[in-house]
Amino acid sequence: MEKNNPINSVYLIALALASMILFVNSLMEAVIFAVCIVATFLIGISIVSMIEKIADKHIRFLIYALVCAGIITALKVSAGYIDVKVVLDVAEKIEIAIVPCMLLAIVPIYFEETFSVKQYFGTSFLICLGMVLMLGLYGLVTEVAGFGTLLGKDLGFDGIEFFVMPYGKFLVIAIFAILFNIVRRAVIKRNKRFRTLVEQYKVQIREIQDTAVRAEKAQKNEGGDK
Amino acid sequence: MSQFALMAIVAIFSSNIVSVAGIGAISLQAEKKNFGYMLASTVCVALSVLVTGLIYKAVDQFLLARFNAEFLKLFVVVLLALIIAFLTKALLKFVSKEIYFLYEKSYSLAIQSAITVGTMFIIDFSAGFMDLMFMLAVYCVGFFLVQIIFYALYDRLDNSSVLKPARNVPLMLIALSIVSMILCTVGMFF
Repeated sequence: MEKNNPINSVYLIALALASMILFVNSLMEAVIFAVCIVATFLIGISIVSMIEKIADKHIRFLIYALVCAGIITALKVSAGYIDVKVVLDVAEKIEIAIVPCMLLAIVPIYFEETFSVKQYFGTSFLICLGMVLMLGLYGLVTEVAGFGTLLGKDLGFDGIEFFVMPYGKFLVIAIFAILFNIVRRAVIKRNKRFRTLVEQYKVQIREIQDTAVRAEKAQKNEGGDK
Repeated sequence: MSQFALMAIVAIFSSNIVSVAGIGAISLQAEKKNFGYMLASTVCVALSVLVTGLIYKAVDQFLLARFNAEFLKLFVVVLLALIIAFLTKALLKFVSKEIYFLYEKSYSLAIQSAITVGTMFIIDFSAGFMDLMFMLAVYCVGFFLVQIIFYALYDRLDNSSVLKPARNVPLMLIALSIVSMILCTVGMFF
C-alpha cells in the first residue's frame, strides 16, 4: 500500500471527514454515515476492480462515482421505509456521503499500478477501518463535548460551543489525523523492521547453502583426485 | 458602500468560508506543483461549480420537479460534475500542455468532481435564479480565497520544524481552523 502510493491515506480520511463537518453532529449519525460510506465504497470498488485492466483510471473513477451515486440513491429511498427518527434524519442528508466515497477511492483507483486482489482489497479494508474509527470518534467528541449528551442522553452539562462550530471541528479532525498518523507510522516502521529482518535471514540462509554446496564440491574434487 | 457589496462581504466572511472550507479543504491534498497549476485547477473547480449549479437548476426545474423525480438529484449532480470535469480537462489541453500534463498525471479530476458534488449539497436550489447565481459566485470567491491563502502556506507548513506526524494536512487543518475562527469573528461585525 505504501510502496507506490504518494498519498498518505490518513490525510485522505481526515479530508473526507472534513467535507462532512456540517452534516454529522452525533455518534449515531456518525455510525450510520460510516456504515453507508463503507458499504458504498466496498461495492463500488469491487465493481470497478473488474475493469481494472481495460479502462483508464479517469473512466474507472467516473464509473465508480456513478455506481456510488446509484447505491446512495437506493439507500436514501429504502431508508424511507425504516421508521426510526435518526435513520430518517440521516437519510435526508445522505447524499453528502458521496464526497468521502469519491475521495477514499483515489488511493485504490489512482495508485494501485500493479493489480493484485490481495493488495487492492487489503488497501480498501484498511481505509474503511480508518474511516469508521475516525468518523465514530469524531461523532463521539462532537456529541459529548459539543452538546453535552451521549446517544441522546443528557450528561449534566451544556457542552462547549467551540466543538459545534466548524473551526472547532477542524481542530478535532486535525488532532485525530495526528494521532492516526502516529499509529500508521509506528505500524509502517514495525513492518519495515520485520521485512529487513526477513531479508537478513534470507541472505544468511543463502550464504549457508552456498558454503554447504562449495564444501560438497570440494569434497567431491578431493575424492576424484585420490 | 452599496447594499450588494455589503451582502457579498457578509456572505464571504460568515457562511461561505466556514461552509466551503470543509469542502475546499479537500484540495489541500492535491498536488501543488506551481502557482500556475494551482490557479488553473482553482479556475477549473470554480467553472465546474458554476456550470454544474446552473445546469442542475435548469434540469431540476424543468425535468425532476415536473416528473416528481427529485430523488435522482445525486445521480444527476454526479453525472454533470463528471462530464464538466472531463470538459475542463479537454479545455486545459488547449490552454497549456504543461498544466494539462500535470492535471492528467495527478488526481485533480477526482478532487475537482468531489468538490463540485460537495458544494452542490450546501447550496439551496429552491432559491431564485439570480440568488442562485449570487450564491454560486460567492462560493467560488470563498474557494479562491482558501486556495490562495493556503498556496503560500503549503510549502512552509510541509517543511516546518514540527513533529513529523503533524506535518502537511493536520497542520493545514489547524491553520484552516484559525483562519475560519478569525473570519467568523470578522463576520460578526457586519
